[in-house]
Amino acid sequence: MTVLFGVLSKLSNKAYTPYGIAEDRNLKILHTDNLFVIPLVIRIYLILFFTSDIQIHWFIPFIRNTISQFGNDPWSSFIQSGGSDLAFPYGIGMLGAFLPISFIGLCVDKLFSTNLFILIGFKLSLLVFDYSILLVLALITKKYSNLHLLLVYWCSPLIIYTTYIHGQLDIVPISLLFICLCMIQWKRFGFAGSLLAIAVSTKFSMLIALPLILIFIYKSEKFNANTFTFIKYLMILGAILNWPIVLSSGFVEMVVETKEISKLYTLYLSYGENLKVYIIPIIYTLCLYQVWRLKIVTKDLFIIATGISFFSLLIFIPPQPGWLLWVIPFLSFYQIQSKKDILVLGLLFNIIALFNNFSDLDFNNLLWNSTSNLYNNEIDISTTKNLIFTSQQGLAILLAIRMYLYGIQRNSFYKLSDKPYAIYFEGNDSSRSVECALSIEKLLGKDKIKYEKVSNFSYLINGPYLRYDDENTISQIDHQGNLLFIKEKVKYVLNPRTNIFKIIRDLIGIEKKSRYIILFNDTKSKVLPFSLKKKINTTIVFSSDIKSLASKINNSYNSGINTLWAYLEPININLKESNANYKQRFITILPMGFLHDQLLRLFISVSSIHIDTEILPGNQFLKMTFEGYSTKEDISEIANVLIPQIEDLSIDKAMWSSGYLGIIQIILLSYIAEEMQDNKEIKDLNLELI
Amino acid sequence: MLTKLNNDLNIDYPRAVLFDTDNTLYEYAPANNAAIEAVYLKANNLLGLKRNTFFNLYNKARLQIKKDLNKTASSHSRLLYFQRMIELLGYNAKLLLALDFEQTFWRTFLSNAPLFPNVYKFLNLLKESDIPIGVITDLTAQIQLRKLTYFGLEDTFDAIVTSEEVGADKPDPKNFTLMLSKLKLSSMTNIWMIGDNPTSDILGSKKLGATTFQKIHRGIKIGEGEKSPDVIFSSYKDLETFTRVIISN
Repeated sequence: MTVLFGVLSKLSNKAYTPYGIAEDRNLKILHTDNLFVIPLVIRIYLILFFTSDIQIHWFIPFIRNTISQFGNDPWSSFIQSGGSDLAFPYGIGMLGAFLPISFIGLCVDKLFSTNLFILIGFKLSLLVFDYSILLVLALITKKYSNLHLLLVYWCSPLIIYTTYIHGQLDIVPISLLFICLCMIQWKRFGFAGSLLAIAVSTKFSMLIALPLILIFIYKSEKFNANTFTFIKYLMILGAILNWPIVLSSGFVEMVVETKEISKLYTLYLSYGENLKVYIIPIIYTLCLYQVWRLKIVTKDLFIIATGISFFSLLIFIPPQPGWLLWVIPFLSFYQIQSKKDILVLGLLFNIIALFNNFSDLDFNNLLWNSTSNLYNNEIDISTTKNLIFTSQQGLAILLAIRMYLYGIQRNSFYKLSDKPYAIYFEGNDSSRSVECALSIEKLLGKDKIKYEKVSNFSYLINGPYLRYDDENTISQIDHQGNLLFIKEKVKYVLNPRTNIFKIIRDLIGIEKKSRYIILFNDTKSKVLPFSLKKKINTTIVFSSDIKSLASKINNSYNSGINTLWAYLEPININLKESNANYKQRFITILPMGFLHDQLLRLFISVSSIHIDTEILPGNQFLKMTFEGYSTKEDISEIANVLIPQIEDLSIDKAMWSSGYLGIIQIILLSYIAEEMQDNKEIKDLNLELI
Repeated sequence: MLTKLNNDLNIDYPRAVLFDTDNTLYEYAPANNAAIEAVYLKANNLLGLKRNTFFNLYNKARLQIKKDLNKTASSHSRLLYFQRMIELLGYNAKLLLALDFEQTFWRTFLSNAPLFPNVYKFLNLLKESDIPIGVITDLTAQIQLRKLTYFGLEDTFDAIVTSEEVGADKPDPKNFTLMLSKLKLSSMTNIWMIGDNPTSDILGSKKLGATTFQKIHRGIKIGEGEKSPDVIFSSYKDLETFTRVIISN
């Protein structure tokens, strides 16, 4: 266990919040929970005392043959030795997953002249992958409840039945896929690419996830070195692991020519006598489009969208017993995160799916025959089976819809992905504006930022070149009086400031291009109708909602609340700026109730700088004076604690600034993160650097 | 797990509950290891120090400071350890570097020092029951107050005593008597002392008549003989249940 935790710690050290002591302890607690221990005992009991027909008749002979003829092509040699071509329709990855422990089992068998331990070894391999999914779920959800996690995944009857009783192997590819997702989150792109290549080589169906993963990586990393590392490892290892496609006739017969691929075409709409429209490729394409259109693809959104894609396909494909396993980890992730559908729908889905599986088994024919006797054969068995299958698929549709509604559509990042944040600098100290803007740009990423000069638009508002009339029409005229732009029936003509943003949006459509818009107004003349202090050099205004920003700011100005000022002042007023010992302290004036409590606690404890606080007359503002130097590591650590959603903001943790810029970055990011959580309590903030 | 070792003792409703901090509210060793590792990485980066050299020098500096200052709060000062380590390396007073190492140490330490599970719950139970709670802790006041602030416990305790304030580490009785005077209590009877160290926490408070609870986890040896605690526990959940029963009775 210690070795495992050490490996996790090393692997995660590139992540923003790496696996650490808190996570280590949470996992240890998870392992002592009865809901972990009891299902583990059930699993071990099934491994030791339950035999699955498909494992005994198909998988084990294949594995035994592979070990005994190690070095030969396993598929061809098995068929040549008279084995069934249905025995092991999986690739090298799957074979590799089972060989090590099965080999140990075979050695023990040879020692004691038994045939038992190879089977136990084979099934223990399944347990390893099953357990891996539990670990990964804990690692990627981070703030999970043990009860929820263990209940929805580890106690899932469907997982236990399909893997340990029915004996299906689908837990292996889905486990590898899930570890791959975790590695992407931990920025181990080479490892992630390798794992996906192995997952695909275990079962080609895992290719379904490839486009989704590529979209996710592209959306979060663009075409940078990480993306190429992922692709490089995926392709190289993919090519190595899939050599049997060209070199093994047995592999082609057993794996490639499987009838599973034809299931993609079983559902279609007939267009006349000769043409068909296949439904499943359309559904899959729509799922890809759904992920592609997300402007910000957070880890949560991505995993749930991938789960929905798997769900959508399974709803329309004639099901195989093991395939439902593909969705359980994704469904569990959704259930843990949203805390929804844990008991009623989730459990019901598991039970109905189990019944559906039972109805396919031979021994259950006995059950059906015996019950049918009670009803004098009046019950049509196939109708009953169909009804159970209908219930299963109906519940699957319902869960997929709920995953979409609660996992995606109501996700704050999804909802806000069309609304940019406007960060507004005003004043004549352009160097400080640029310094602040650059620090924000470095943190958030250059591609997410667009700069605009508001001063031109401000000028247009008040000048002769832009006018709006009573019919809500805005027009722009050049110096010669020619009409350059006209926009009719503008909805949101509330006041001059609204117009600035509205016009910027309409004229250049910036909201469609960038996540954050940094607006500069570097004219010395004050064209905007508010000024909170006479000595204003720079103003930063940030809000997620451009439309309501203006009215909020005006309200803020009129009422004198919801405003934050910030400025620097010399510690020793007798020293000149040119003096080597000249130092400044940073002062902010925050609205009461916004952030100051956490800032005070964290800066004092983490950064050990001196902070003085003072409630200003009127009890609406709190003045905070920061004296001392915070390193960027301090700022990063404080942000990590202060902003729980920090991983989803896709920021570059190396780009936190030190000193007062770092404090501004933290205030900005906290505000944005709170806004993304739809916290209505939070106030719009207007930061002025004086 | 909670076990009463002193079966002759009747444990009554506590007049106050006193806590040690390190290894009692959180596990010290992992945090300390992570922190010193972070300083090593920085030292390696800035000074090119190899792992063995760094740890040898750090340990040498630590032992020297502890020997020089005996059992006082400053003898635990990481700033002094790093300053001495830099001096042992042959540098002159590199003040900024020592301060930088110290800040790196404590920043990493705090981020790797999660409270034991259910500590908040247990403290809340005591608060709700109007039982005064205090902290008696070794080390300098500044870092111990930072720790409690980082844990979000800055408004939780009724009194805090640090060995810096007293001039000597526990088990010096002055630590406990100062706490009694801060809580306006006259004796340690029916006062619970919760700590990890058999000498500092258990022996020190037991001599004055406290009921002693030793927090047990990996690396902690249960006190024996005169250092034997009245109760040992490994989980605050169990301690909370135990206390709830006593309070309700």
